[in-house]
Amino acid sequence: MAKASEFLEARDLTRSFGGVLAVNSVSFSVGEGELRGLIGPNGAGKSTLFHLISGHFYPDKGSLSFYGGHIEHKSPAARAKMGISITFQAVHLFSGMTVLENVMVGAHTWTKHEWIEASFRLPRCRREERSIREKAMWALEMVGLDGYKDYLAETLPLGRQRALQIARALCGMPKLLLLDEPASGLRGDERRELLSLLEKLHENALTMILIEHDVDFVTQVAERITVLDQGQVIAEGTPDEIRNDPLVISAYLGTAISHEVI
Amino acid sequence: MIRRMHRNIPSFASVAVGLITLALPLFLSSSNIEIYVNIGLYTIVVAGLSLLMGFAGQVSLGQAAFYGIGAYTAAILAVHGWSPLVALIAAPIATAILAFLIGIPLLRLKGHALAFGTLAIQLIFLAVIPETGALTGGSIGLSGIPPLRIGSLEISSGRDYAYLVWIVVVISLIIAGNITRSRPGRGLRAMAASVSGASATGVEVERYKLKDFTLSGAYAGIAGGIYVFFIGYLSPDAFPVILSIEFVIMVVVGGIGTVSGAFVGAALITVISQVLSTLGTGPSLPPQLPTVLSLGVYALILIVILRLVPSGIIGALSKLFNKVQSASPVAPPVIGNSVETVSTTDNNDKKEFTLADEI
Repeated sequence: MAKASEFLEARDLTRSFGGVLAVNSVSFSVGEGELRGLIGPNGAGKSTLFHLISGHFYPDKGSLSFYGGHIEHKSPAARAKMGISITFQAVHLFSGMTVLENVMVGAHTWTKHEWIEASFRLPRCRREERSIREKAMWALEMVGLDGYKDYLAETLPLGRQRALQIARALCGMPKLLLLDEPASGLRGDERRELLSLLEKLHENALTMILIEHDVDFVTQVAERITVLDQGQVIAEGTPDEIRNDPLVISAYLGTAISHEVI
Repeated sequence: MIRRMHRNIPSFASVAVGLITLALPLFLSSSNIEIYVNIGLYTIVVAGLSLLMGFAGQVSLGQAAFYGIGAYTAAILAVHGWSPLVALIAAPIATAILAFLIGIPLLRLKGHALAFGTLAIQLIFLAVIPETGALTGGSIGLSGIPPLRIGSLEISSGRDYAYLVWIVVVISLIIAGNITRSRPGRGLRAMAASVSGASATGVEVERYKLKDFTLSGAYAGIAGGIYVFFIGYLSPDAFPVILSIEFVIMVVVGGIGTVSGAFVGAALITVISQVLSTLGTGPSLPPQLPTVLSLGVYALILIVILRLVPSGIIGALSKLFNKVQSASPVAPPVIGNSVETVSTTDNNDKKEFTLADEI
C-alpha cells in the first residue's frame, strides 16, 4: 500500500477565476485505500479542488502528484486512464444511451481497440467488447442497477442516475474515486443504499474522496476529513476532531474567519 | 410471440428494403438509374457525415469538397495510367489523409465557427480547381477517364454501377454500425452528450473528433471515386456549395446519428431535388429557378423537420415503434427535445423509465 505522500499529494494548489481565489494554496495528501471526507461551506472551493484533481481545471500554480508522478498538466482523459475517476455533482450522463451503454463507456480507461478494429469487428474488438460488457454488468450489480440495464439513462430518477454515475466510474476500474455530493437530492432509503455502497467499496480498498454537504453523512463513512473554507484548508482530522474544531464550527456558523488565524 | 414478432419488424424491413434495392435496377430507365446510383453515392457520404454530426456533434458544410477530392484523386490517377481499381481505392485514402491534415487546425474551432471553417474548405476547393488546369482540367473539366475494371470484369452499364454502389453502401453502413456499437462509437456518442462526462471516463475528445472527421472524409472520398467512373467526365460544377448543404439536410431529414437514416435522407432529398429540377426547367423559365426553388424547399424542410421531428424520420419511426412495442397506456416522458440529442435508433431494446418501474 502506497504511503499517503506517494498516492495523492497536492502542494500549494491554487486556482482563481477572475480575481476570486477559488482554491488558495491547498496542500493535502490522501493515502491508498483511504475514504477521505472533504467538507466546507458553500463556495469553499471543494468542487474546484476536485476538478483540479480530475483535470477538468488546471491550477494557476502548485503541484499535484499521483503515485509519485506529476499530473497537474495532464488532460482529464489521461488522468482517467491513470485511475482517477470523478462523479459530478450535476449528473453528467450520456443521454440517448442506455444504462448499460453509459456504464460501458467507463471501460475506455482499460480497453484499447480502436476504429479500424471496431469497423471490421477484429478479434481484439470482439474480445474486449465481451469483457467490457461483463465488467459493466458487474458495476451495475454493485450499485443495484442491473435490472435497469436497457433503460435510457436520462429517464431514471435522480437517485438512480447518481448510482449510474458511480457504476460508470467503477467500470473504469479506478484507483481513486472522487465523489462530488453523491447524496444530494437523495431520499432517506436512497441515502442508506449509497452509504452501504460506499462502505462496500471501502472494504474493497478503493480510495475515495467524498465531498458532501451533509456533515453527518460524511462522518458516518470517512476516516479522516479535510475542511475547506474560502479556498483554504482550515482543518484536517478524524470526524471527532473535526466536530470539535473551533475553526470548523465558526466556518459552519457563518462567522467570518480572519485569514491571519490560519 | 407477438412481442418477438414486433422485435423482428426492423429486420423484416431491412430484408424487404434489401430485396427491393436488388430488384430495382432491372426495371429502371437509364435516367432513373442515374438517380438511383446518386442516391447510393449520397447515402455513403451522408452515413459518414451523420457519424460526424450525430456523434461528434459537428456540422460540416464542406462535404461536397471531400466528395470532389475523392473524385479528382480517382480521375487523375486513372487518367495517368494507374489501374482504375487502384485509383478507386486511393480515393478514400487520399481524402481521409487530407481530411486528417485539414482537421488538425480546423477542429480547434467549435460550433458555428467550425461550420464556416468547413464551408471555407468547399470554397477553397472550388477556387483551386480552375487554377490547376494542367492536373485537374480546370474549369473545362477532365475527360478520357477509363472505365472501371475489377479483374476481368468491366463495370460499364448503369446497372453495373447500381450494384457496385449498393455493395459499397452496405459495406459502409455495416462499418458505421460496427463503429457505433463498439468502444469508439460509445465514446463518440458519450462525447456528443457530455464532453466533460466523456473526458472524465477516458475518452480523448480531441483525438476522437479528428478521427471522426477523417472517417467522414473517407466516406465522401469513396463515393466521389465511384461517381467519377460512373459519369466518366469530371468538372468542378459537379460539386457546388448547395451539394454540401444538401448533404447536411439529408442527415437531418433521415435522423442525425442514425445509420439507416442516411439512406432515407439521401433518397428523399435526391428525389425532391430531381422533381424541383424538372418543375423549374422550361423554355420560358429563368435558368436559376431550380436552384432558387431547391433552396426555398430545403429551408422549409429543415424548419418542418427541426420543429416537428427533431430526431429525423428514422428517429421518429423508432420512437413510434418503441411505443407500440411497450404498449404502454401512459405515454412515457419524452426526453430530448433538440437536435443535440443523439438517437441510437438501431437499438430497439432500450426502454424509458416510468413510475411503474419503481414499484
